Parts: sequence; structure tokens; C-alpha cells
Amino acid sequence: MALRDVLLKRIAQAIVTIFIVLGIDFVIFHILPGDPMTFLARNPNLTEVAQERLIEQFGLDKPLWEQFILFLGNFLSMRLGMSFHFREEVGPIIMHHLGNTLILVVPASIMAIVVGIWIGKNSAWRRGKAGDLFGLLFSLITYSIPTFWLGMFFIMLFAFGLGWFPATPGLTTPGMDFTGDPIGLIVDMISHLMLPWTVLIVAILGSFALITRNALLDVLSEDYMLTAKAKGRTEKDQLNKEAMPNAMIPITTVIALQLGFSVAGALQTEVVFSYPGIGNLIWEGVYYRDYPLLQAAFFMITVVVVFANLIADFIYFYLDPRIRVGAEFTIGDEKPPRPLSHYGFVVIAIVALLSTWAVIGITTILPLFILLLILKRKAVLVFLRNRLSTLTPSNLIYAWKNKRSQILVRFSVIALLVNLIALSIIAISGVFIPEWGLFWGAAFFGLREFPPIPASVEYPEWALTLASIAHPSVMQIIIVILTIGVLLGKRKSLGATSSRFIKTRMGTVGTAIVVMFAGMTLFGDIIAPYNPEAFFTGLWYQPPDVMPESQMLMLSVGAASLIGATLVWWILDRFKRPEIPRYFINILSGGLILFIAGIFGMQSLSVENTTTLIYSASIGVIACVIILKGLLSARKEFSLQQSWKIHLPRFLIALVGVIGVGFIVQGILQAPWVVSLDFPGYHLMGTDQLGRDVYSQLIIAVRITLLIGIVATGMSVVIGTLIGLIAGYYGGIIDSFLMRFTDIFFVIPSLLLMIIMAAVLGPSIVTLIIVIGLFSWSSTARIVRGQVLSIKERAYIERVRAVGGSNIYIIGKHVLAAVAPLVVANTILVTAWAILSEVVLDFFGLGDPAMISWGTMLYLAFNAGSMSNNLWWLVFPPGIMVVLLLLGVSMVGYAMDEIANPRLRRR
Amino acid sequence: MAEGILETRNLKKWFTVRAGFLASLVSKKSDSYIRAVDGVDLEIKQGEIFAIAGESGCGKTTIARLIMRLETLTDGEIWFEGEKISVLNESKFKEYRRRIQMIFQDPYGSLSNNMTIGEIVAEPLKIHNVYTSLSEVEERVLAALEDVGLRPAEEFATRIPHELSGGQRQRVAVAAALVLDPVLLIADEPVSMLDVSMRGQILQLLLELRKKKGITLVLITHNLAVARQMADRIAIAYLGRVVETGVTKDIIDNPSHPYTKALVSVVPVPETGVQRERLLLTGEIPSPIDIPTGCRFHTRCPFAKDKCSVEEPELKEMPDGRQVACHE
Amino acid sequence: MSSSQIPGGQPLLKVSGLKVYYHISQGVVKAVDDIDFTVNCGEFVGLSGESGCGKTTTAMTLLKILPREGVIEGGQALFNNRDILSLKKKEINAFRWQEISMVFQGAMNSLNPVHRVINQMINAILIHEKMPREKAKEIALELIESVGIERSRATAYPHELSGGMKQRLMIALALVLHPPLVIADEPTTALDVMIQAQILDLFKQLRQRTSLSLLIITHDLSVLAETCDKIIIMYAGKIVEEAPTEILFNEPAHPYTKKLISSFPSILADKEIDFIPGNPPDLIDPPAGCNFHPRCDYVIDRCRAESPPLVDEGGHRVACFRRNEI
Repeated sequence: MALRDVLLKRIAQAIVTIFIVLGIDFVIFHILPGDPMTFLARNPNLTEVAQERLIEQFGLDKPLWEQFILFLGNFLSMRLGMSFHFREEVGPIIMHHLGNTLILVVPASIMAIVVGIWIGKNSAWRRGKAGDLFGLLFSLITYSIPTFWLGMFFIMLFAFGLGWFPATPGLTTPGMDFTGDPIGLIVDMISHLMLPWTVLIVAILGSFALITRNALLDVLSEDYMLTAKAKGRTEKDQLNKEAMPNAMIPITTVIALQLGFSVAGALQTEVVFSYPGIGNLIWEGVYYRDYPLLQAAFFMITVVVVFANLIADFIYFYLDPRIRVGAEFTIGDEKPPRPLSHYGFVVIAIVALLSTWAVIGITTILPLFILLLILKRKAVLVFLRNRLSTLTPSNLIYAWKNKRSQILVRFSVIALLVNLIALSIIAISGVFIPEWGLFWGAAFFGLREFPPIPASVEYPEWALTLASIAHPSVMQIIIVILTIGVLLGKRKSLGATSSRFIKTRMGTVGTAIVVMFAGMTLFGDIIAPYNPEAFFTGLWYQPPDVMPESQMLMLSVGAASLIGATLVWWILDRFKRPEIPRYFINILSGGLILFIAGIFGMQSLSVENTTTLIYSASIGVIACVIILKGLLSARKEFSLQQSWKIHLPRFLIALVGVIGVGFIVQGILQAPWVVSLDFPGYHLMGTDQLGRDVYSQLIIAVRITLLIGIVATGMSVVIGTLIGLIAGYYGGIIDSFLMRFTDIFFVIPSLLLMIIMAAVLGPSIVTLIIVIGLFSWSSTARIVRGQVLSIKERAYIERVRAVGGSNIYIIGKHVLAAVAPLVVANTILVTAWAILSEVVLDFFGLGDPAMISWGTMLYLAFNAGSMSNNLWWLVFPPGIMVVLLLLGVSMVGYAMDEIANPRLRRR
Repeated sequence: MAEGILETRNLKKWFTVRAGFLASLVSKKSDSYIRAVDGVDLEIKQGEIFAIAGESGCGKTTIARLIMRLETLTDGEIWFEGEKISVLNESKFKEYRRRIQMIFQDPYGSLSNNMTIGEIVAEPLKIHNVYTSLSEVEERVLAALEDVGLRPAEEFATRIPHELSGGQRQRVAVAAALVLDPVLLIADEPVSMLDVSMRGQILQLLLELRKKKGITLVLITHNLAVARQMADRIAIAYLGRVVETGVTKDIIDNPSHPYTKALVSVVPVPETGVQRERLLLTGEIPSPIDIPTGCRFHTRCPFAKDKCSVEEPELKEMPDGRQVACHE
Repeated sequence: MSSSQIPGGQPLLKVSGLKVYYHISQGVVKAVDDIDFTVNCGEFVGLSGESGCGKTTTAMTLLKILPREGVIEGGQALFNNRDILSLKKKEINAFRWQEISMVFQGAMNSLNPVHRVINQMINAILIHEKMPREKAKEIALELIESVGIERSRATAYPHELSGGMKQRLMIALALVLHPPLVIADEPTTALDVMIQAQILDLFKQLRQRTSLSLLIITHDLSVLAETCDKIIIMYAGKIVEEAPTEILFNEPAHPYTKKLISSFPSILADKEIDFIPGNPPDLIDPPAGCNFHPRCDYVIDRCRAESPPLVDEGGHRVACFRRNEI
């Protein structure tokens, strides 16, 4: 019976996952640098006797593998060790708190699933119409709000503001003893639980709605739905009786995988409401660095999630008759047509594992680089000969005549090879220090100088010249040229997709928001009136001053004219006025960009800030190019009298809109002039508990969030795509091994793991990047693998293989090209997730203290009790900025997904 | 052996059927197999059009994929121009790949939409590295496009597959196969996904290629009428084995194997008022996991005798040159 | 059962001036451009033509199950003198499957994978008629047996059945309410020739046993030769020829039909390989005048200017100016 087999397989996998979780737990607390357990013995708040018992119980003095077996024995028999902070056995504490968490999480999750599916169902059924847009927008917004900020917002609004719910933290009002009347106790608990429930439901609702919508869109395009309609079923029956039973199968799978996500939401809710659950316990554990407590808490939560996952799997098998009844026979895993030579296997295994350091560490790429050279000598030679042969004079002339961008690409590939070789010689000749990789990574992102010369080593002269060739910024420039060459080569197809992308409403709005934040990053210095670190002594918790009239006037006039222009433009669309020609929009947008670049240029001139001057100059150049292109194409189609009469109204409205934007930008930039720099100064958004200007912090904090978000995403997407590609293409044992490996990262609540890792490794940017990057690649891997599996079966892959293309050639040239659009769309969605994780980690006090970020601002605000004293200007501005950025990024990601994802594409 | 360009001896391809998770743990019983190709001997002469016909699941496509090494061989040998190519390692086999090319059934799926037609046709040259300069590549690509009738070639070279009709795409696939000047071309259902009015164009093209370039063509098809129109010799396959092979017109006009008789008798004909005695077989083709013992057709054969269910018949030479696998 | 059984020979379905356009991002596709034809009671009508000629769109219009992009621009479809196209939402649900039912092109996954086959048939009955579930089950089982499948297989799920069986069950499902008209869209295209013969045999038996009229839609003329009384040939959204089967095959009048029949290889005769040069027309801006003129051997200036009307001469309708000259 197929079902029995599959269930046994799932149970075995669950057990394996738990053992691997124990492994990870052990690694974090015993092997990672800083080796927390060893200094356990010297912890002051533990008595001598307690320390002895602990060392003996966990065998801390014995060799590692013995420690591991003891560790396993203890954990499996639930003896989880002593807590530093509570000085008691950890087991019972966790059990008690776990109970409270379940009371919070289980009802909230069920409610969220029910409501989420209802929203997703209706928005899928009314695809394209208003209902769909509203459902999608609602899910994206709730998906973008960090749970803890939502909690703070609700507390300030409902508990302190309107007083509907008790403001006292915890499960029951402290000091009231309900021994006598159980009903009073329950009423009190319910009133305490209402707010956290709503917060948790709103937080995880969005993702369930999105999952349902996608799954249902797939099902609605199937043939049997046409039969259902033809049978005369009413619309309601078609949806509920024919479509939903099919859609529930993929929905339950993805919901099971999302359970880890709701644990993250629960952690944040408990901390904000100081609700006595396991989340709060972890918050204290992190605060006091109580490692045994964290170790046990991580293990318990993961066991609960794995168990919940198992239940979801059983429901999934019950729902799907194809598994329950089992097909006649399933063809065994067919080995890839050309059996994998063992060389290939070794190389791939290394690539998959070492790629975890792909973005950061050069040191780990070197052995792989050298191994590749030895193993695949012939292939590498052929590759080099090909590359060099294309540089013969006749080919260059041919390339110049037909495909100019090809030359750019060819030269940059050669330059990249030279750079890499120089880099490896430097790395080998210099002192082979493990951190070397880290330094190179940091230098690549401009955070450190290169080459990292440790004090003890004297670098010879030739090494310095070689270092200048292999310098990371040189590599950065080459990569930029390479990408420009590739993009130029694909102008036609890229043009088509980008125009389709901009046409979607979500695409335009999302891009506008992202461009706004990019502008803030580049021109932060001239926008922020004060230096964000400057203390205004004696000016703590200063509420925001009223905006001066001139700035207020400027902003309101600008905003009014912009909104008015868009409204009239929308009305014109409604009356089917003739569509404005393409070249006109080019010229218009070019003009707008030039106008803004001019304002920034002037501002940076007056402030003598050269970097922003260069930025605005370069943007101005790009704007001129766009205008020129528009004018050139206009010359052909432009006929004065005909277009002037028709497009006059649109031209005027566009002009008004542009001027409006100009006013707004000028208004924002006026802050430094209006503000007097001496004490007490003028604070648009007041000051925080250290007397620093909140508005300046807000502007400068964008940089660190975007940097961490983008770098961590880069790392996770590289890992995810590689693993997805290899698992999807080669199948067989490699596929099942890599996929089990990925599923584990799905099941484990990644936020929890990140918090603990960051606590152990100590707060710094590099830790944040590594931690977020290491735990966010599983979704990419899963999506890429799914896509590769379907591409692999396509006829054109078979044809290329029949012609003689090798596996590596097929992956590189065809599979990657087909997967690329989906990877791009997924990358943007992962960036949104990475930024959210960074903000949450900061909120847990694990952000880099030296850097200003929205999360740290909220962490300080939370600790300063801003909720009770209603310091709204410390809570709302950072929160709104985070939500706006996440909303913008997810909108862009979703619009791209709608185009790139074959399943969602509309005819 | 001289004029036989391609020969297969006892060709076999068995797909393993995954035993359940529990079954493989507990009883370690050997997996059961799908015997897709179960001992096929073919001999194809130089310059000939040889058709392999049969219903779906008879293994005709798998045979083609084994020759092109898109599937790993379970048993048997493949000889090409007197050389046993089924034992060569990948790099040696690559030279033979240049001389054997294949075109596929689905014109819409067999061309990648990320490349222009020129790049698609040039790709085989790039994979095998058989060019001295890029301008030579362009010449050979334009020549190949002209050969398949996509004129003006320069204009077609810059277009993308989804701008072309089904017939034009199949021509591009043929051009991509021709650019390496192969000796043997395997066509797996080349016209079954095209409209009837377009099929003739591609079939005509294949006939011209044989005349002009002397290419040997192996035509895989389920449509006996197309096979009759195109092929010199034909092999009828059933459940992984060849039941009858010989000159196409003789086999189709008066078949001798019961299965071929039944197959030919039920093919609908685009004419009215045709009285034909039809041999309608009942039931479905048996599942390829438990193939009937003895002659695999005996369960559905109207002339089956008890001997048929015991002993599997081998291909026997008949007076008129055809070979039939039947005890009759 | 169905509303009123009109005696044989009377027109059951009369389509006139039907126009259906698809509005997609690239433009407006004129899938069906002003066609009219009739299906009489008990008559088996073949609707043939190549991909993109509008035959499937015509069928889906009769049940009003066009996709969102499909818009009925004009025309009438009288079924028992009721115009299907002007039926309101509630009426159309009652009309579907009771008056006209359909066997779909992708029959392989036209059955819902998560419901047992017998339940899908019972639901079809219970949507339209109130009766105890047991009685509906009995009707369904009877029908399943009549299409040659044992009762024991009825409780199976679609994925457990072979292609041929699923096709038979789709036919049983289409007959479950004994509708006067059944539309079969490419019923045998995805099947092997042996199973195809069994299905065509099944259609012939249905013809004797019931007063069913059948509209078979397929590009394969040889399938229609055996089963239909009359055949309609469509090209680029228009009807180019309609004639009783005998006349169509022996004396085809329209150049397109001539070439189509000669392009069809036959297993009995030595036919030269023939084909129609050029490519199918672009339906967004079809060629002026007669759509077929770019690919026709007998084209004259008039063909390039005017679109030839469908002229009926003794039941043989042809849309070609040079009908009698070639």
C-alpha cells in the first residue's frame, strides 16, 4: 500500500531532522568560536557545586565526540542542564513557558489559516478585478509589517490610547489571585490574550493568503475546471467543490513549511507583550547570554515544529488520492542519461557545500579553484583556447560588425580570469590566514582596506603591485562592465519584459518606493540636517517641533500639485483620451530626473559634499541620454499640428506633476537651511533617549539596512540557486541528499536559529550578514529545483544533449538562462525577507551597536518604555520606514514574479 | 556488414520500478522492471528510409533514444559503420554524435526561446568546435537555412522561435541537425504535431535531403499511412519487440503477423464507401511490468494457439524476404 | 429527460452570423468570423479544419464557456428555437449538460483528479435533477457499462485508469443526462489507433441505440469519413465548404478542401506527398478578400478584393468564386 510506505518515510525523515537539529544545537554551543559552554564554569552567578555538576553532567572536560554522545544522552532523556539566570533545572521552566506559547500560537495560527485561505480564494477567483488587487495589497502589507512593531503599535493604540485592553503585560494581571473564581481567571486571560492574538493573526495572515492565491490560480487553469463549468455547476460550487479540494493539496504542503514562520511571529509578539511564553524566555536568555536555556529552548521549539510538520504531512496525504491510493507503478529514479563521472560528483559536492562562503570568503574558493584545475585539466584548456581564439583579428572585426556587446563581454571575462589568478597568487603567497577570506569579503564591500596586512607580515614589493591588480574594487568594476555587456546583448528581450513590468500597477508603485529609498541612501548626507551621532546634551525625549512655514508651504504645494496631476491623468485615462506616445513619456521622465539631479547637485555644491555631487552629476548624464533617445525617436513620429491639439491637456498635467515633485524635493532639502545648528536646534521628529536627532538617524539608517539585506540575499541566492540547479538537474541520490538538507532548513524556525547564532557570535555586521545569508537560501533552492525539473524535460534540452552538449554546458547555457527570470524575481522577495530579519535581529539587541539602523532605534525605544510614556515619535517613524521599504520591495518582487513565473503568466 | 550503416543486436532497455520504501527495507526483493525495449535486432542500409512503427508504449522512441545515447543501455550492442559504438566512452562517442543527428516531435518545445534562429543553428558547430572563424560559422548557418527552404536566410537568422509557425520551426530543427553534415538522421514523429497541410512540406524536405545528400533516415512514427508514403522498409513493434519487418508496401498491403493485420485493418482512411474487414482487438495493451509469457501478443491474438503462450517466437525469414515473429 | 424531442430531420441547432473575437495583449484575434450552420436531430455532423480555424471556439460558444478573453461579438444560436447566446446566468447553468454536453480535447485530465469517477457522474445528474443518490448511481453505472467498462472500475480515481478508459468515461459522463446534442472535440486525437477504432465503434452503436445528434470536431478527415453524415470545413474563422460526406470526399469544390484531402496520406492508395504551400494566416489582421487567397492555386484578382459568400447548391455549400471553373 503506497500510503503506508510514504508515511513511514516521512516519520524516518522527521527523526533524522531531529537528530540533525541536535547536531546543529551542539555545534552552536560547543564548537563555534567563543565556545560558550567552556566559560560556563567561570560564570559568576553559578555556585561552585552547580558548576561541578554541570561540567560533570555535560562532560565539558572530555574530548568533543564524547561530549556529543553525553549531550545526546542528556537531551533525549530530557535532562537539559542548568540555567545561568534562573539557577534551576531548565526542563520544567521551558515546559511551563511552552504551554503558554501554545495557548497563544495554536488558536492564532488556525484563525490565520482560515482567514488567509478565504482571502486568497476570493482574490484568485476574481483575478485582475478589484477584489484581487485589494486581497493582494492587504496580504503584501501585512507580510511587510514586522510583527513586533505591529505589537507596539497596537499596545500604544488600544491598550494605552483607547484603553480597550489591559495595559499590564503578561498572561494575567499580576497580584490578582484567582484561586477562588476560575471564570474571573479565564476572563482576565482572554482579555490579556486578545491583543497578542490579533497581532499574531495579522502577521502570518498575509503569507497564507498569498500561498492560497498562487495554488488556486494553478488549479483554475486546469482542464477539469472547464468540465466543471460545462456541467452547469454554479460559480460557488465550481470554486468550493471542484477547485478547492485540488488546491488544498499544495496549500497544506506550503503551510506546513510555513509553521517555522509563525514561530518567528510568536517570538516577537511575546517579547513586545512580555507574554510569559518561550519567546520571552529566549529574549531573557539572549539578554543574559544564558546558553543552556537557549540550547534547550531551541531544541524544544524545533521538536514541536517538526511534529506539527508531520501532522500537516499526514493531512496532505489524506487529501491527495494519488498518494493515498497510489498509482499503478512509479518509474524508479532514472540516472541522468550520461552517468556522472566521479570527478564531477566530487566537484559538485564541494561547490554545493563551500558555496556557503561564496560571497564572503575567497580563502575557501581557492582550494576549489585549484582542485577544478587538476581534475578537469582538458576541459579547462579547451575553455581557455575557446576564449582566446575569439580574440583573433578576423573574429573581432566580425563581432564589431554584428554584435558589439560581445566584445565587451569577452574582454571582461579575460580580465576577470587575470584578476582571479592574481588574487589566488596573493592569497597563497601571503600568510594563509583563515580570516583572509573575511577581510577580502569586507574589502569587496568597501568596509576594510585590502590587502589585509596583519601586523606580523611584511609584504614584498611585487606582492603590493599584484595586490593592486587583484584588488576587490578592480573585480567590482570588471563585473559591472561584464553585466553591462550582457544586458546590452539582450536589449530586445529585456526591453520587452521591462516595459511589461512597468505597465503593471504594482510594478510602477513598487519601483517608485524603491527609487525613493535608493535616493535616500545616495543623498542621505545632504538630506539629514544633523550628524546622527551628535548628542544634544540635556535634550532627551524632545517631542517633534512644528515644521517652519516656508518648508511646510513648499511641501504642501508640491504634494497638492502632484496628487492633483495624477488624479486628472487617471480621469483622462477613464475617458479613453488617446494614449500619449512612447517617446513623449521618455522625454518627460528624462526631464524629471534631470530636474531632481539638478536640485541635488546645487544642494551638494552649497554643502561642498563631493560624493553626492558626483552622484547627481552621473544621474544628470543618464537623464540627458534618456531625453536624447526620446528626442531622436520623436523626430520621426512628431508632427506638430496633429499631436499638439490632442496631447496638450496631458502635456500640461505632466508638467504640473513634474513641478510638484520638484517642490517636494526642494522642501525636503530645505531642512538643513531652516534648522539652526546650535543648541537646542530644531528637530523635525524630536530626539531620542540619548538626545540624538531622530530625523537624521532615520535617513542615515537606510544604508545599513539595504547593505545587509542585499549582501545577505546575494549570498543566500547564490547558495540556493547552486543547490537548486545541481539537485534539480542531476536528480537521484544527489537530489534527495540536497533536498533533505534544504527541508531541514525549512522546518527549523530560521529566525530562532539566527537569534541564537547572533547571540553566540556576538553582534556585528558580518555576523548579521552570515547568519541571514546562511538561513534564507532554502526557499530559493526549492523554487529553482522545481523550475529546473520542468526545464530538464523540455525538448530543446534533449536536442542539445543529442547534438553533444555536456551537462555543464547545458546547465550553464540553457538551464540557467531559463531559470534566470525566476531567480531575479525570487531574489527580490528574499531581499524583503532578509531586510525583515535584519530589523528583527536588531530589535533583539543583536544589531551592530556601532551602526545606526531602524531596528536598533526601535530596540532602544522599546527598552526606554516608549509605549507607556507614549513617545510616539520614537516608535512610528522607524516602523513606517521599514514597512514602506518592505512593501516597495515585495511589490517589485511580486510584479516580477507575475511575469517571470510561467505558472502565473497571463495570456 | 558493408552497406549496413546501423545495426542493433539484442537491444534492451529496462526501467527499474521503485519498490516501496518498506519493501526495499524489509524484503530486499529485486525491483520489478518495465521492459520498454526487450531484445530488438535492426539492420539499416546506407541511404535507406527505415520506419519503426507501432502504438504508444511499444518502445519505438526508446530505441531512437538508445542509439542517440539519451538513455543508458541495459543490454545488447549498437554498431555504426562497422564500429561498436555502444561501448565507447563519452569523449570518443562525441565524434560519432557529429555523424548521427536527431529531430524531435514537438516543434514548439525543441527550440529555446532565449536564442535567435541563427544562434540555434550555429550551436552544434560551437559545441563540437569544428570552425576556424566566426564568419565561417555564419556562412554554414546561412547555407543550412537555405537547404531547408527558409529563404531569405539572413532575415530568418535574426528572428526568435516564437515568431515562427510550427512548420518553419521544424525546418529550423532540421537545419540545426544538418549543419554538421550528418550521415544518419533519426526523426522521432517529425510531423505528428503539425497540421496536415504542413506535413507534406517537411516530408518532402526529408526526401530531398536523402536525394541531395544521401542521408540515411530512421523515421519513428505511429502513423502507418505516413510510413507507407515515405519508408522503403519498415519494422512493426509491439511491447518492446519487433513482430514484423520488411519492404513497407508488402508489409502494409498484405500483412502476415496477426498484430500487423489488426493494426492495418483499423486505420481510418480519408475516403468514403470503402468496405474493409476489420480486426478489432478487444481490451488494452498489457501493462509493461508483467508482459504475458511466451508470445507477448497471445492474450489479444485471435489466432492464438497453446504453443503461443509458452514459447516466445523469434524473427523468421519468409520466402518473400520479410521477417515475422509468429508460430503460424 | 430533456425538454422536447423534435422528430428526426428537423433542425435541432441553427447557428447564424456567429462572430467570436479574442481580445489579448497583442490585439484582437478574429477566431470565428460570421459563420452559420445547422445540426438536425439524430444527425452526426463533422466540423473540421486546421489549428486556429475556430472550430473549438465555436463549440465552446455553444455552451458559453469561452475564456475571459473571448467575446461573442454577434450572431445567434437557436437551440429548439431558444437563443443560447442571450440566455441569462441562471438559465445557462440549467441549459449546460442537460441540452448540450461536451467531451473535451484534453480528455486525459478533464476528470477531477480528487473525486472518484462514479461520484463525478452522480454530481452531474444531481445538479440538474432531484432524485435519490442511489437512483442516480444506478443510471451512472448503467451508462459506464454501456461504454464498455466494468462496474467494478467505477469507484476508481482518474489516475488509476488508462487513456482509453478515461475517454470512454468522459463519453459516459456526457451522456448521463441524455442531452439531445453532444459535442466531441478531438475525441480520438490523443489515442492509439486501436483504441481510436473502439471509440468510433462506440459512437456508431450510440447512433443506432439513441436519437442523439453528435457534432464531432477534429482535424483528422479520415475519422469523419467513417462516422459523419455531413462535414463542414473551416479555414481562418470562416466556413469554406459544407457537404454530405460522400460528395465532400468524391467531389470537393473548394480549393482548400481539395488540397486538404490530397494532403491526407491513405493506407490503401499510393498517394503522392502533397501539401499546401505558405503558412496559416495571422488572425489578428487576416488577408483581405478570401482568407485563403495567399495559398490558393486558382487565385484571381476578385479573390484578393472580395470575401466570397457561402453559396448553397443542392445542399453543397461552397465559398469560392471559381467554384464551377476548377
